[in-house]
Amino acid sequence: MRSWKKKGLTAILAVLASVSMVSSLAACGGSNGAGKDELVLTIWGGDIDKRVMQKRLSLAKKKYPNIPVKLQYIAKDYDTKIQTMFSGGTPPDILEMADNINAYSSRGQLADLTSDFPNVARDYGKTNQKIYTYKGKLYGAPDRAAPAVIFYNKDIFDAAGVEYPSEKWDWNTFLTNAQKLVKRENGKTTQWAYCEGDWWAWYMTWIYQNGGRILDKDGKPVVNSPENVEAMQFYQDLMYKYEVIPKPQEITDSGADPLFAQGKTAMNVTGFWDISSLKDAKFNWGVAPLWHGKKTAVPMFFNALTVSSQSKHKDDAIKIVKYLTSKEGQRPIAESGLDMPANLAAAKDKSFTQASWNKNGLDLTAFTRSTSMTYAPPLTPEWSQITKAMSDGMSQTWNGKQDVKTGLDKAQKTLEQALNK
Amino acid sequence: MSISASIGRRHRGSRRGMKRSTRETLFFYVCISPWIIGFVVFTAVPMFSSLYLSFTDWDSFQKPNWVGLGNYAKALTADPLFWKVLRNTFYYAIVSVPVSLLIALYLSNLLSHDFRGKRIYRTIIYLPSLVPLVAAGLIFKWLLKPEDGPVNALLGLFGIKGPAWLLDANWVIPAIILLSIWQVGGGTILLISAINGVPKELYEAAEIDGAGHYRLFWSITFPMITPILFFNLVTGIIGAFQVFDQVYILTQGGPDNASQMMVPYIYTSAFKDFHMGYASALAWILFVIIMVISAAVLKSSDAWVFYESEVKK
Amino acid sequence: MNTRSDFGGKARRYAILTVVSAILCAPLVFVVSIALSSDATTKAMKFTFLPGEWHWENFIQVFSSGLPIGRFILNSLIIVIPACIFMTFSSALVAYGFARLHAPGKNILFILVLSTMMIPGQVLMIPQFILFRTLGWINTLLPMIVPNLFANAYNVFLMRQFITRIPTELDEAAEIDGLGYFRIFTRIILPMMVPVLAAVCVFTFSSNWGSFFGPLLYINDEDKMPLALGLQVLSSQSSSVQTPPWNMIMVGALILILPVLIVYYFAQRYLYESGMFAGSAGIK
Repeated sequence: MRSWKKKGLTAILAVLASVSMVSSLAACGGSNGAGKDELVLTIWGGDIDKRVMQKRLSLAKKKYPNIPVKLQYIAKDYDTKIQTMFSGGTPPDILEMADNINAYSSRGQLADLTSDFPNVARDYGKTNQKIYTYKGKLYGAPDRAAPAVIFYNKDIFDAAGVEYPSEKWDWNTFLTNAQKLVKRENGKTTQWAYCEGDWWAWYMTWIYQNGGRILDKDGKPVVNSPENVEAMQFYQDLMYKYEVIPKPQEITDSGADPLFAQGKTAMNVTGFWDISSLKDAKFNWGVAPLWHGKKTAVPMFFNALTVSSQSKHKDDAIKIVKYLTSKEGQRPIAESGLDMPANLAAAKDKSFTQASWNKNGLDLTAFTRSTSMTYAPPLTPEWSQITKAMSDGMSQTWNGKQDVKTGLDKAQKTLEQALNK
Repeated sequence: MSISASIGRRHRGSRRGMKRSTRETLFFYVCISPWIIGFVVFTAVPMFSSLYLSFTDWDSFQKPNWVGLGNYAKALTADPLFWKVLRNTFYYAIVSVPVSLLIALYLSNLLSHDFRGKRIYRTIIYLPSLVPLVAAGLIFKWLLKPEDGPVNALLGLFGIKGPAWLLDANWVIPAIILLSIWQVGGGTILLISAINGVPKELYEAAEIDGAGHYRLFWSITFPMITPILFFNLVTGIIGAFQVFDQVYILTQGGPDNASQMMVPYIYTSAFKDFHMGYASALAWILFVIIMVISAAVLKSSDAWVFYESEVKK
Repeated sequence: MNTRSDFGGKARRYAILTVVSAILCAPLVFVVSIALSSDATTKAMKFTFLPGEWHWENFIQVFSSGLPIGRFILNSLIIVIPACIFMTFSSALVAYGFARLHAPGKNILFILVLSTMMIPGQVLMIPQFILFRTLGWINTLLPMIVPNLFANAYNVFLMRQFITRIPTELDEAAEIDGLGYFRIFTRIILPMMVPVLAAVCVFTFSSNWGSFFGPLLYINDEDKMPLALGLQVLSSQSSSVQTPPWNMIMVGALILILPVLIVYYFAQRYLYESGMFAGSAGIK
């Protein structure tokens, strides 16, 4: 006991010693994972996204053998990880981005690509130009851009004797036909015409098709305009008056894509990805461009490649991005059946329109024809607040607990407060 | 008696030249040094950074600008959601903490006895709290399906028409509470362990006196496990006020923020809206709230927590 | 004694426990059922409560995915084993200090200990990331290992509460016998703390084994990922973009749960050791 102090200290020193030992062990190979002059490119998605990007990077390597690029696949919570990397001063050089691009560009985090893509509207379409332009400057190189289309269950249409859907349908045709596609047994609906949920691509499309807007030209919210009320009322009636699409409480545990895959809905408006999801489907199905309202408006699912303004290899990164979004660099996207290339030349190319994976003879022109019908949602830096205000305001309306006007008024009020800093 | 003993001890003089109290103090600091090192190196700096950031408009990218008490003022006076979110959080905490504690107490009392298969049952109790919340989230969405979910089907057997749970503003918080109660295992384990630690002689003596089950529990078991109950209570309160995963996975705060709670709201502000400064201010407001409530519980503990030996100061 | 009522009590206990267990386990049956579902069933979300199909290959897929599962497990062990050992003993030492020793500033320090639990971790994420970057620890396992070696508030508080249940008579007797504080701790207090040491060990194991968010932020390379994050990669990979691959998510969940369950099952011997003060004098 004479040495109690010594022993206590020895114990603690032992702890510290082993800590430093473990540290040095675990630290070997440290740094941020990239070799010294290696560029880092981050993406999200699944295995196929990863493989396709790897393929494209190997093509890029042939062209630029002196610019090594390391692919970093982020399995989950992409946005949080990216934000932390930026805040922590270790951003990737090139990063895949979508909806929240302007949250970054408006805060000076992304490199200006305007002069590198002088003909962006011609090469990638007007919608892409609009989406990635903030205050007159282009911050994203359009990478993937497939318009939404109608996936329809041919068996259900045939059984009901309804002609297949197309862009010629207007809201009236939609409603009349939808009523023929619903099946009820003992007061319970067993088959719906269509299904939606709380997602901008769905509710904003009704609004845009009715000539409505979320923000006006000056960026002021106009959520509760008469056009918007009318559009949302039509959607609400599909659920509660005509009962041709399921109410939220009927589909809490799944969603539109699974419901369509189950054969419980006749139509589903969704993205290119559903093609591969449906490859084992036990029914016949096709794709067609979306119906129209007073206006034509089709949502588009988009991602871009962007370059961090903090990158130490900005010029090299831009070279790589330019290559990856060129016709040649986009070819693997088309060939693999991953998505529709944003580059219009690549999308018109045989590698997409006559892709070898398209064994069922799916009408892929449904996608290419839709490109000119797409609209750009209001992707301001406050985009996440816009969609949240809409969900918060409208959720009780969609649940049948409040009328349409009240919901839109609520969203309008929230947005006025959020945007009026 | 323990207090008088410890007072007696303090004046018992010194050994080996150094005053006893000095040695004791010194050894105290040696003992707690692992915590101090961990705190100073890994916690203190981030904590104070977030405190500093709460007085700025940091967007997590650009240089932060000092805004004084602006964020705090905004939360308390100008943010229409803040009070709603706070009320939801209180509602969740006030119901879930006592209910979880009572259930844990009841189960631990059942499980602490020696009986065949006790290991299996004790394992089953702990199992749900190990299920990753992403997985549990899907399961609960399915269990609570409004139209044909098992829970509502069960209620239907008793002639009750179940609510729409996650879609119903009045039932969404109870649904979240249900998920937390399902994962009550961790607290139960500690209580079983605490009950098993109660000396058998105490029961034997009382049984000779003819005390029944209830009396044995309330006069012996309960007081002997109050230190652990107190621990479960305090950490339960802290955990409940910081509830995050359950909300994030089940409802994302919906419908119309009816289930939005403080920490998911903080997360949304920081990582969706990029208002890191404001999020930090919200976090420190929550800190103060938890601190005040914990202090009150701590104060109350003198009246009901029985310490075999507690060395204060 | 009265075997009759004893039997009745036992039967009642089994009845209640069986009902409770059934309620607690029902959701897990569903987890298993989803884990055994085919991809087509998953995409259509046509799950059944009881397993309707038996796609055991989902579990095999984990090992044949091409991902370094062995490496993931090793990384997890590198994080978890030191954490269990050092966290448990350093917390015990700190708790002993707070429970048994007199010192100026102790109460303030204890409040400080508790207060570290009261600030939501979400606002500390970025400052912590910057701290670890400054230390050069990004893309290493160190941010997961080192902070877990030092006593944390939860465990210190828990252990302190346990120690206060141990009568002081024992340490006083030991002191009279000439034992110093450190020996009182190792010879008298620590042996009596076995149940709570086991509890902290189990909790530390389970929380570190299952956590993926820290690794997600700090690790960039696949070969440095612990199992919880690796399984996340696995399930994200097998997804088509919109519907989550629920079958693989559940497979991952089950694989993560199993080791913790085994550790807990065997730790019960220590966790529920009874009569820890048996024979101690002076209990009122």
